[in-house]
Amino acid sequence: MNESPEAVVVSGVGMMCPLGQDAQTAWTRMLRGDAVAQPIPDAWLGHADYRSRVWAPLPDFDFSVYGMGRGDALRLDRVSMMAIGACHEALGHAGISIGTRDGRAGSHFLEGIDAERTGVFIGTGIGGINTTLRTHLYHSMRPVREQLESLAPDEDGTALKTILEQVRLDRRFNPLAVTLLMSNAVSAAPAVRFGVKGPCRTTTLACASGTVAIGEAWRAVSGGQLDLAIAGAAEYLYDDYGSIFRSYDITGALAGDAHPPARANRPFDADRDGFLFSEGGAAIVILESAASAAARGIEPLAEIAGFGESFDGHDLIAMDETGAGIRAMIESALIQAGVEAADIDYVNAHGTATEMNDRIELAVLDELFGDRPLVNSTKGLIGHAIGASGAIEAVVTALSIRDGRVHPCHNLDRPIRPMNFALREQSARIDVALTESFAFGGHNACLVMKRTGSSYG
Amino acid sequence: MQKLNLKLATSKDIRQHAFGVVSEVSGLSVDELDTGMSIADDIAPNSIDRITLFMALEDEFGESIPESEVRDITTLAELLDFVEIRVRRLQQAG
Repeated sequence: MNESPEAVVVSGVGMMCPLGQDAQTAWTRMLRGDAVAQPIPDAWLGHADYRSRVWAPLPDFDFSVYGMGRGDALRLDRVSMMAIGACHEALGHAGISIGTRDGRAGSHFLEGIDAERTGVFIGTGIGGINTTLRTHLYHSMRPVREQLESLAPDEDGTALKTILEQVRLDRRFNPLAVTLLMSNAVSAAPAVRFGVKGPCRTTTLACASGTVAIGEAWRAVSGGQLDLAIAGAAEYLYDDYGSIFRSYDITGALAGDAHPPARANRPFDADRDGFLFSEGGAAIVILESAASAAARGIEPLAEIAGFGESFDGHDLIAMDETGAGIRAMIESALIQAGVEAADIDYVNAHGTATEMNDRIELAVLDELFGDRPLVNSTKGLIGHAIGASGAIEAVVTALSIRDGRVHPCHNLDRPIRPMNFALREQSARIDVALTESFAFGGHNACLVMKRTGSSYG
Repeated sequence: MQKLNLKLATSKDIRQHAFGVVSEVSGLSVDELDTGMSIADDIAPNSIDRITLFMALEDEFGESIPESEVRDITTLAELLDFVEIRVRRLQQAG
């Protein structure tokens, strides 16, 4: 390594996504070009005439591998459990042992790490929305259900039974609801579990949440306020009735039914018509100085060298057609990283597959970088995990740099611009890479990463 | 943990199963549990632990357990008695 000792490096990663419970499994499958796209659950169909009928569900995760059991599942929303899971993996990957302070209380500490000089920065789009909806449903519909149950059954009992089957409620109003649904639980729950005592922040900036969380953590470590940061994002967007899915569907932003499910998700393709809704995911990076990683004998995956952000100030959904905010954001991050546009070897694009986003994103990338860097979209394989997407893509970018390999663009048959798209998995020396995120609201954020030991260090 | 067939469960089945739930939620092994243990001091040291324990019992034994009915339970022995009485009542109701 020849990066400066102050350089901030990614010394470990963790990721839970539709392609697997851990980063290496998901990464291996991404390189194979595996993609997830399935018809939405039947139970959602009776509630709306959706434009989109496809999504990317998560596999069944085994939380016991992180030491979480029944009590945790009652005390935490799934989004916080995934945040803890990804943190657990990333800490292990970074060679940080998790010691047990009180096993019964689920209280741990990070061995050899100064807890007061460690921070947690985790983003989420909508935090414990699953619990919010379940508790609201129980609160509002339980009296209705009780009244229905008290009615005399009709002749054969089927009409009432059919109605009751549609009122699907939890057993109870969870007495711990507030700690499950509050957005800051996604960072507080892991910080409590791992005994972190430094700053603990939750970033809620829709699809830019994870990128900004990592950027803020990078600032804190590179500025010397912290020795170590646990940073990333988590999102969980399932509900029994499909109302979260409907919120995105009704904007017209989701992939329509012009193609069969496996062909519906097609970032940067002329036939794209919206993004693939993901059930969610979580991704975490461990950030520390290069000197700290070296002292612990850890070979980092990559260096984070720059962070840029901007706000369109234009519309809560539509991007600014001029792309001015994105361009300014990238330029400031390049300056911060000490690199030129011509140095960028790889762009992990936002690449949602909506008509407007892809068009504006590629126009800006083309203007700044031309057709030199490899470009792909991780959302093309696993859909859009909203707040978690930027963190997932940061992990993918770090792994791409480490391995010198990029995953293919999925379903890219007719590119809308003649860029250097990774049409199949390919090897490439990546010295400098860019990953970027654009969010509903108008938030833009990007990270510039370098290969550790590259001549740009 | 396998689901208990509540309709056919004997007293021993019910108590063993409740023991298992308490063990799972408290983090104490079945061998460490003793019926003389205090719920507040030994099994569920804070209010969140106590709430979690009774939610897990509700899930396992299919009954809602109002806080007012368990407020006076102080030992594991009393908790096991409470669970057995509730399950017996369910069995009698058919």
